[in-house]
Amino acid sequence: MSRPFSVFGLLCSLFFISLPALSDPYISRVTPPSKPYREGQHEPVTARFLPDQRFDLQATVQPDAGTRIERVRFMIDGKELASVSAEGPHPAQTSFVSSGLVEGLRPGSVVVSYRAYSLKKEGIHRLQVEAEQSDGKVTRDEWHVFEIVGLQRLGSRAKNVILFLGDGMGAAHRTAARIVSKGYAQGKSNDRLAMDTFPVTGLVMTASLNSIVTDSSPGMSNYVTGNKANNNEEGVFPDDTKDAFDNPRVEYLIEYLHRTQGTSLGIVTTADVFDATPAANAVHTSDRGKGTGIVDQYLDDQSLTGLRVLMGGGRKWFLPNPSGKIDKTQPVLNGSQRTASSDYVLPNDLVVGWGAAQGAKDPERHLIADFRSAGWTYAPDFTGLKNLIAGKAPPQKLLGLFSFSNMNVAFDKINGRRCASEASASAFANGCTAGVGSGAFGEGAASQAQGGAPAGTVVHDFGFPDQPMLDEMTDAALKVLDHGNDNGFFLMVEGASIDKQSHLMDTDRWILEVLEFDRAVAVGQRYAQSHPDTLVIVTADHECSGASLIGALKANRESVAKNLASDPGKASVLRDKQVGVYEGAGFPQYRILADGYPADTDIQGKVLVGYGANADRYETWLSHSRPTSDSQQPFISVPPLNTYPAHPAARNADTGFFIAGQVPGENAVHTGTDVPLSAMGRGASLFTGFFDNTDVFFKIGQAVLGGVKE
Amino acid sequence: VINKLRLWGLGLGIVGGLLCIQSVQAVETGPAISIRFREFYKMPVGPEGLEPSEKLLALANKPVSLLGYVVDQNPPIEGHIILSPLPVLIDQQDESLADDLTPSAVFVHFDPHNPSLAESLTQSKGKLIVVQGVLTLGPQEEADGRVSQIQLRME
Repeated sequence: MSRPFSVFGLLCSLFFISLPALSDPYISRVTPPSKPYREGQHEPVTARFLPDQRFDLQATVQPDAGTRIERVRFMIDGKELASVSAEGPHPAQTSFVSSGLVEGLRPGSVVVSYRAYSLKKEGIHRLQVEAEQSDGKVTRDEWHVFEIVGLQRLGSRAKNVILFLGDGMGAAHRTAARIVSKGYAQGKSNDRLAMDTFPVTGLVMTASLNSIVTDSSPGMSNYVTGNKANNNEEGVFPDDTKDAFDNPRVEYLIEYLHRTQGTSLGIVTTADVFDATPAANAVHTSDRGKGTGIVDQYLDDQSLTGLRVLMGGGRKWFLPNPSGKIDKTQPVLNGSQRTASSDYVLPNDLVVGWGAAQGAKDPERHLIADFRSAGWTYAPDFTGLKNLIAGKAPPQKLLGLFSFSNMNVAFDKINGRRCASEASASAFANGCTAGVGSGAFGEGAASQAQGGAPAGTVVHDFGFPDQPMLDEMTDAALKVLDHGNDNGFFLMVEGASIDKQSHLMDTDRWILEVLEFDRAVAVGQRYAQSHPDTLVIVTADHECSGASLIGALKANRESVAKNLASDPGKASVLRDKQVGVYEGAGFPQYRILADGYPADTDIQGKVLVGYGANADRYETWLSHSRPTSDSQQPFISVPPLNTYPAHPAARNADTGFFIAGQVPGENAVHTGTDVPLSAMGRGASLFTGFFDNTDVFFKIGQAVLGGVKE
Repeated sequence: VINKLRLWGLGLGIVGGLLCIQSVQAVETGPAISIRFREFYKMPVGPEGLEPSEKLLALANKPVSLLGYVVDQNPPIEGHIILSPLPVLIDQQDESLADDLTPSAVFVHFDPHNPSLAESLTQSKGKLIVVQGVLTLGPQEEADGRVSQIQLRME
């Protein structure tokens, strides 16, 4: 990653000779973003790209009162790239936008873009923007720079990349999962998680473009664009228009690799597939909530991304919603969440520049049918998935939508499987003692009161009793991607609810999410062992909840329940007499069943977790048979049931002891703590040390395009 | 013994829930017909979309009563609550519409300018309550960006 000339000299000269002009018009934003160089800095704070990686250039220009902007010119290293005028004509990959802008700009402001620019020459490059006003005044902004990061030609290249993203998974999450699944004796772990056995470890800084605490959009996007994004934004730089789909883009790793190498893409998640992490591999938007447009772009732009596998939850976005045409006497009640307001239509300059689909506001679209028409094979459940990959020739393209929104978590999926088998006695927190498959709990309990059928398990409550585990999805994805794999693949596998259950401070559930995630990691590890040209990375986008292992439970479940009934809310009992710290914690010993998960999480000696980023909550230390809230609380609570809580601040409010939150709201929050990264396979050696999340992109680029010394 | 306790608890809960929102009444006259979440759709869900039951379709535009948990929406949305067969917290921050709502969740619309009603419903978040209202069917884009399939209108 050499620099062809002195960064210091160039930037100093730019800064001192090219201070922004004092005269108007005012150039208020230049993209890609960079920061004025300051003496003493070792590195410029600027956008970085791989050679020939595409990105958009953009400027926001605000005129003086009574004038208008006539023309904006982009120059690279002093040479004009494009001149874009208000009157036109101008190049098809450019635009001059004066409407639909955000509030707070001067009247007559414009946003001017040049789409899909790329440059192969390594080093620091100067980006100049010149704006001409109708009164003849001209402003030139010329201190912006960007860098093309060179690759070294070293040797063997990685053909495939598998990126396991444990959403919200910090070091404590990994440690807790190891203690639960492997156990310790005499101070030593009896065994390691699969991710623990990777030979290379790094530590990653996770900040986004606009905060030390990232959300999951830039948390993922930064890894696979090499550039910082704002919170809630993925694959784009911020801009001054209201349209969520017209932001200046930066080419994703997979778009770059597919365009230059023919690489295929697989996305596997336990979340809704439109959620931030999966979308931040393939979809460009400044609003992670635009579900209809996001899922449409998965299909519409498959020629740009090479997408061949898409699995997770989120079926609600794939069903037609013909609202507006609806016959109220025959309403469509299929559960579709598609809306025109969350859909996309791209401006022409984006379509021309990037070769992207234009899109349409079409909530009536039947996206599952469109996927099928485009050659995709669809699996609605685990049985269907197993059948599809059982043969010698797996499908070329695989769509799996196993729930309406987020998939149920491992705790509840395993409970569902155990309750459906002879092992029901081992269900967590008596999760299936009432039977299986009789419908939603709230009314299931009600129906019992009315003499009806008993409640079912959580997966039955949701109507999706046959959901695959993440390792099963990963195995299926690898079979599809490996079939006829001439040009390599990039597979992103997300353990999404490590984060979601950490937000809820539901310790038992997020620990099992990490276990499920690690079983998926083991699948990837086995693949890489038999395919040595594969790089496997395990990391997180950020830490969530400030989780910390504080000790172990000194009492068993029955004793805790008894204490909760006799001394509800008393920390002097529930905390002081039950929490074992230091040697009082000892070494928790969980019994692991053949399915890979604990027989029971509420054991005597249970590992206990505190939260440094916690909201208000009440703690009992016991697991909950239902997500978020414990609907079985009559066992340990006082009626009436109409006080059943739904959030951590109210959960166990009549039994547990109160722990004051340090953040507002009802959820624990993400933290800015660095996260561990583990790597194995070809190119893993690049990932040692301490680095920024955007560095991961360039390390992958080096492994895949430049190679490594073996 | 435990099951009996649960039944007693549940019964008390239902009574408590009814008392909690005793001011809630459907506009249409006549007795409200009770319906349960699991009676909405064929379960388990098939390979594509939800499939409404005949009972659900037959109750369109009629007064019904429904027992469920008031979803804890963060932030709350004026003029509606969501009723769910499971207690759920949905948080717009970092979660958006990637949520844990069951497909059968119902949007309950009420007059936000009726302070006693709005207060009683808002304070019921997370609680198991019984709601009476007129059942309406069909996709409707709600203020929080979600599309409801089934609505209860308490005007």
